[in-house]
Amino acid sequence: MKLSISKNSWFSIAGALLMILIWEIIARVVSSRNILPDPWLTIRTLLGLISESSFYLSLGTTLLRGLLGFSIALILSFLIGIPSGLNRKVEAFVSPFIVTIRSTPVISIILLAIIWLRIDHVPVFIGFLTMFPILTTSLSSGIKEVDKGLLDMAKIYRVKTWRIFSDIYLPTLYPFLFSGLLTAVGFGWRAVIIGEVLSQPRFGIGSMMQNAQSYLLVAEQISWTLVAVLIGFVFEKTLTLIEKRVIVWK
Amino acid sequence: MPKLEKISFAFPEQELFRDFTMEIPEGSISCILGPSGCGKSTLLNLISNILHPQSGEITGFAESSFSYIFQETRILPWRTVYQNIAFPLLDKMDKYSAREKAERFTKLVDLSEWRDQYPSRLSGGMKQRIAIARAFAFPSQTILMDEAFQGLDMGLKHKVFEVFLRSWQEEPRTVVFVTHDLDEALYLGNHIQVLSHAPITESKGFELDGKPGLNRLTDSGLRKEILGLL
Repeated sequence: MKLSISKNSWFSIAGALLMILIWEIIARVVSSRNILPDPWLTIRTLLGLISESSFYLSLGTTLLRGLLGFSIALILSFLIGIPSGLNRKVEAFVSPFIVTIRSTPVISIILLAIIWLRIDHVPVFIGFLTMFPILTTSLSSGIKEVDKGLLDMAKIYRVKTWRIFSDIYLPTLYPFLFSGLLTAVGFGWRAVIIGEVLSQPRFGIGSMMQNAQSYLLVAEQISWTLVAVLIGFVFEKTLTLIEKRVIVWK
Repeated sequence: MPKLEKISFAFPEQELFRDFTMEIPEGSISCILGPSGCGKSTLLNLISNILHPQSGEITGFAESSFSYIFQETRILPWRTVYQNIAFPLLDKMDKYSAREKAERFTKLVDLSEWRDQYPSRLSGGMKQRIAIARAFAFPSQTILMDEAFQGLDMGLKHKVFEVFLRSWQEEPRTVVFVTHDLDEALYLGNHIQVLSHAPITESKGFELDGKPGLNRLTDSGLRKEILGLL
């Protein structure tokens, strides 16, 4: 088992190296650092960025915005997703909201949010709106999968309601919650950055990308992109790790 | 003595019981035999108050004091063997007693070695032993069993039956075991009640002598008589 995982990791490393090689080749063909800088210049630029304190301010601000949007989305999705999974009337009532949020193009929400909200709040709002329907739908479909046989068993043994929730409903929800979290965090993280690009708050990964783009600092823009990708990757790996720790019974 | 007196019960599409009377001897294992679909499971639901008879009375069963062993084991996949056995106990007694009782029954059904394993690692017979331990560890007065051993092959069944009888000797109580399998009834029961076809109006009772076990399966006279009724 362990061997096959490390074998797969080697393939991933080989894929990544190939990607860098293709990048290097295209950069040589283009041969203009203002259009596509080569990987080494980009890495040097990235190291330069990391050595500045403003880098951490932007990174921290974006992370904070993401975390804020995520927390609101998670809390609301529990408050709305679980009742709507348990009760068809609630589900029918909530569904127009969810469907509207899910099918509205992010860009039109951002444009409106820029008019409605403080610039600083726009990315948080966009992150929240992206994650909320995904998490709500996951939780409400998870609740529907609860084994009625287990509920009957608990009723016959007169198990208390809160323990029915913690010992039957919650463990049933976990796999749905984690698959929702993985998707939501992936989309949400990118949405927060898009929100920053368009609303241009003072700090933030998105704002820095937008700045770099307007001064044609392509290496810097790619560096910020690498940072965003890396953080998205860390989120994904962390969630997968937590999932494995939590769902130990399979 | 627990008793069903002149009960009638019908679903919209089918009448199952009509003026049906039956006594259930206290503290013994009663097997209810009947053809599939005759209303055996409904009988358990009536006894446990999940369904209510349209007329007649069910008396002598302590209110809300039932354990249940289902055909599908209904154990929690995300709890270990020990945690499953302790699951219903935690609302009924203090933590210390629950722990002591769950440990004792984990041992009694020969699952000590698997105490901390999750059910996905266990065989069907082992899972059924968890359900048995859970039912006997729970402080109920009556254990209801609905085709509890269906789906186990004969070798496994024999082992599970032994565990069941051992648990019953440890904590004897009234058991109502519904089955369509004559061998199971002969093996485990102190009494057998054979139900007629729906709508059920009467049942015929048989007393079984001697200790429950394999030896019971050889009584061909009794077997013939019961099979004649089914």
